[in-house]
Amino acid sequence: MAREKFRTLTEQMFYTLLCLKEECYGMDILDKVPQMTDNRVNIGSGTLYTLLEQFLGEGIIRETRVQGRKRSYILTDKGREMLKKECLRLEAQLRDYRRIFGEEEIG
Amino acid sequence: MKKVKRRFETLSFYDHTAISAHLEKMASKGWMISKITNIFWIYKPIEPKKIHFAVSYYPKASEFDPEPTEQQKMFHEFCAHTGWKLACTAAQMQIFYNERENPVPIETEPELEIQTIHASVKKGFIPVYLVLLIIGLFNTVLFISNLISDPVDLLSNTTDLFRGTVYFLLVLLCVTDLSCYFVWRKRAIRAAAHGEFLKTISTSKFQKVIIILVFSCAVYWLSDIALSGEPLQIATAVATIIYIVLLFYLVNKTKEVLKEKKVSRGVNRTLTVATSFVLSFAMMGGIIWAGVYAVSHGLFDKELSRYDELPLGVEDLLDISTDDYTSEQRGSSSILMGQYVVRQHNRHESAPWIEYTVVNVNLPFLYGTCREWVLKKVNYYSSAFEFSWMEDNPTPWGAKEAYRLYDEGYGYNSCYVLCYDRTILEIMLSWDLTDEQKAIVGERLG
Repeated sequence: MAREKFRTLTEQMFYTLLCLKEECYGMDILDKVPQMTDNRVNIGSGTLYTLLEQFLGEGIIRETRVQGRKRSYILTDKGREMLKKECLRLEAQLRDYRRIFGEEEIG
Repeated sequence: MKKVKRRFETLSFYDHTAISAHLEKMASKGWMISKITNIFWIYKPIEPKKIHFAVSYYPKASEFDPEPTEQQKMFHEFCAHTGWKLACTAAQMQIFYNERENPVPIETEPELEIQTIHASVKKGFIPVYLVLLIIGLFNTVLFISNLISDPVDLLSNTTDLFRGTVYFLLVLLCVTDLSCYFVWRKRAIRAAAHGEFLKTISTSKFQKVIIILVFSCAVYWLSDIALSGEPLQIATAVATIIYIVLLFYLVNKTKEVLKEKKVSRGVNRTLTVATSFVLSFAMMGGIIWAGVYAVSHGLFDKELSRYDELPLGVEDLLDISTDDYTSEQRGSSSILMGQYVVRQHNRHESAPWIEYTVVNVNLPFLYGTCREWVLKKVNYYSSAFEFSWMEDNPTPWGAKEAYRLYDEGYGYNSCYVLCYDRTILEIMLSWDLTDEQKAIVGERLG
């Protein structure tokens, strides 16, 4: 793969992790992300399922409750750290943009 | 209205783009996919409508699972949440449909889709195709080596030609399908780096061509065997067909019965694989035993009785009775060429005898190769002796070319190769022929 695993996050990874700041059912993320982004970002059910599996495997999130097939998750410290790093990276990008183009160019 | 429709589909496991498009087309014609078996895709009738289809892959699934695992059901529920209902599954392949107008796709991250597809094809598609490729390559190499060592024998045998063609087509199919998958994967990874999805490379049309070719060859082979095959050939063909169909049916049935009995994946896999090994060896052993028994008991002997007529016999050349002679005639023919061998001997060694091989070449471009082979054969079989073919006068034989065998130690033998328009004749006799006798040979066999 061109991207080193989870070194940078795609939009869908980012918003999935953002939803898991609080305990949340996996399936609810499918609705939360479009609400959160004003329908700008949609996550496919297959993609979300694979992401949750991979995040669990890497210890980025952990399972909090299992009710039949309904499972809820929450960010781990590693996940929080990863999300924070990604935010800092995005902020740095935004700062660089502003330095080059100035405030007025945005929007 | 028909209850169900069964179709043989030529769609590769990984080819989710073509599968979705095909199923959408079928739904618009009023047919919804309901099950995928090892041979057919089964469709049930529905009201014709525009439905979206998506093929997703669940790498942890297995064709030996008695039912979807809890995790797999969770995946199905995720999909159902966005309107994607499960139509059917086939091992790791999960087929969903969605009646919403603009549904969110199941896969929205190309990199992850490539990962799940690759994890799935590694469990079934790639190992199966590699095994088939090895089998195909081994048999193709064997076919080519036989073609080099004895082209006439091989090209005049319909069964060998059919077998060689099928194995070659199998190699072609495996190489094409595997290459298309890996080329798609390489390009898809590049596209995924830019967040783009890439359509799979479809081999559907190519597979259709291969199927048509195999089917046509099979029809030709069976009709040829049925019309002109010897009893042993017919029996072998029938036994081979029964063997393949029965083995396929029994192994598949074992897997299905174990699934119905809710036997675990591991036990089912072990038992099914064991059954396929035991049955294939037992059935093959049975066929070989029956063949050996039949041949040793003379069931398929084709020694001519004295009343059967040979194309040319000692009695046609010499004024003697051949009532106490033994004759043997065997041969084979294909669309490319035919070959038959005749031997006529007397139990007394001093009595005159005759042996000849007639090769009829149907395709002119093969004539040269066959002629070379026939002339080369004498040294090929007896490289310890110094034999060579010396040009002889073809006129008495009515032939285009004539060669006589020359032995460095003993001089000329009564062994000739004669070339006619479509026929190459190799003849060996126990006496020196006169010109009149040569003319009779040319007339009868040339």
